[in-house]
Amino acid sequence: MIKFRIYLDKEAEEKWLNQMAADGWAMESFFGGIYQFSACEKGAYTYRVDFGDKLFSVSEDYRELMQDAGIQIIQTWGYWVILRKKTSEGAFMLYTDLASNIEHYQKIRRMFKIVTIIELICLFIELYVGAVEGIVLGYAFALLIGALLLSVINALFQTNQKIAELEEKMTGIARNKKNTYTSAFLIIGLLMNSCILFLMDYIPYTITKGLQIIAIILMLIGLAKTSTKSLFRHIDQ
Amino acid sequence: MIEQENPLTEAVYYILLTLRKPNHGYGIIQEVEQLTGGRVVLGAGTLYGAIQTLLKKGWIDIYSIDTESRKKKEYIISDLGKKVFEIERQRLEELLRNADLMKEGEEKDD
Repeated sequence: MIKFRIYLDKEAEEKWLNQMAADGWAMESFFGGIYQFSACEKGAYTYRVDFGDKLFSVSEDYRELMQDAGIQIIQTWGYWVILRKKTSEGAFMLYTDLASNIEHYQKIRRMFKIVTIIELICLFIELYVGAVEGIVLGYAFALLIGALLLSVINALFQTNQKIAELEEKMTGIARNKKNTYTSAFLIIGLLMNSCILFLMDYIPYTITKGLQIIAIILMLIGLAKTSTKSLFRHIDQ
Repeated sequence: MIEQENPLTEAVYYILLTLRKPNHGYGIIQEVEQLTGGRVVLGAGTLYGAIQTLLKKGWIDIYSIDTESRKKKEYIISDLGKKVFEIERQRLEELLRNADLMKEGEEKDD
């Protein structure tokens, strides 16, 4: 059986893979959103999604450890690694304490940040192509990248939230450890706005207007988040 | 510099302890489980991440890589790692010593 899905949330992906396994479908491979399943005994495997430190591969140490622990490496995709263990061989958790869980999500957050920046750059290249070169396809791509950008920003936000929750659990204090906090929304909004100003002369007015509204909304959300967080910290102190 | 790292997480504490003798990744998981009577079962991700960090910090070293006999890569605690562990042990002793104050408090209440 083949299914097409795109997940940016590893927990949702794990949940889905485990549900499929519980229904008797074991995931065997993944390629660009296409998951391939084969029939298995119902609930035969537990799946976990890890975030490695190598692109499309894992280190020898990693492979060895997983093999010893009875864990199968099913697929590597980008930095993601999909693993499974036979349910009959016991519980399967990759991260068993808060400190390592936080570290894991911090790595994921770093990747989402980089992807956000790359997509922003791509977006403006496509807009430039559309406006300056007059190639309509540029706009089409810009729209597509814009949609991707929004979903990655959302994933970044969710990961941030997740890390904050874990840190709160660990320290018992519901505050960010850093002295200064600036919301990612604010930074992205500002960046977007400056790029729009730069490209203003080349892009039709209706498009810059639309983009500027998005940038302003992002900046406002960012500003609100930044100021409320700083405010709460001052009250606490 | 070392002191800032303390207190150690439970995972790091037990990894350092088990590496008083050379051991490989899964061997560490097994020994920690045994030492704690099954209370601490390190996840593979937690262990892998901790080993990479400890190697980078120089608290543990690679003991042997013998690929020909397909022997697994083993790790061992370094001198720096031993120092870190000793500082942590002293900290834990202090905690326990001071915990006795709680008993005194209870006696007065009676």
